[in-house]
Amino acid sequence: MYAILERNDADDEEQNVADKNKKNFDELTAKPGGSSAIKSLGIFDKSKCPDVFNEVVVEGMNMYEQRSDRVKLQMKFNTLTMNAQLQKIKFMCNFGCLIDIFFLKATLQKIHLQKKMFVLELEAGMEVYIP
Amino acid sequence: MILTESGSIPAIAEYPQSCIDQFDDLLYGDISGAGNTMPKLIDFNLEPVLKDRKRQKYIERELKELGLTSLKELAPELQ
Repeated sequence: MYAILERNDADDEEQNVADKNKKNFDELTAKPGGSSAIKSLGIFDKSKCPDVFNEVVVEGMNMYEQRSDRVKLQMKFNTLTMNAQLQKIKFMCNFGCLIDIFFLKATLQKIHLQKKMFVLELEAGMEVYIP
Repeated sequence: MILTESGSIPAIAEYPQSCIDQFDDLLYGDISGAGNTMPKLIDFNLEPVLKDRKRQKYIERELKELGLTSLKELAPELQ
């Protein structure tokens, strides 16, 4: 009986998390240009190593730190948003149309984002690319 | 920006504040794909001061390739 009740509580919790995520997603998509931006981010793409090998256990230890779905989704959203910003700045720099102070500003912002991404991925226990 | 405030290094170009704000919006603004960034970047590059500065840089580069420092060197007798 207790097991059934606990199971029901767990199901409710999962449902609440799912509802909350849906609400956040709806809020983001309501912003101008938000829908296309989120779709292009690929937030629901699960082809990366942390998604594929999330539940893999090696010698009694999980390959990746086990976290709640909400935290994982938030982390993924932050990483992808930052990555999209970085790509935008790289595109602007590589296009060769920035000069003087604008080029310096873009380069500084690029370095700032790369540093932030490095720390974020390191904190999450993910693989970090060191160029 | 900081260096020019002291006056020790003269500003290369006097960009208007609207131009700087436009660029800041583009740089720090919402993420949007290349399809949205590109038109904004084109609009930004149509700023007259920026266009003049780019033209000046282009002329300087072309003259440098010819081994000259200014157009006046091409016709010294006219000076």
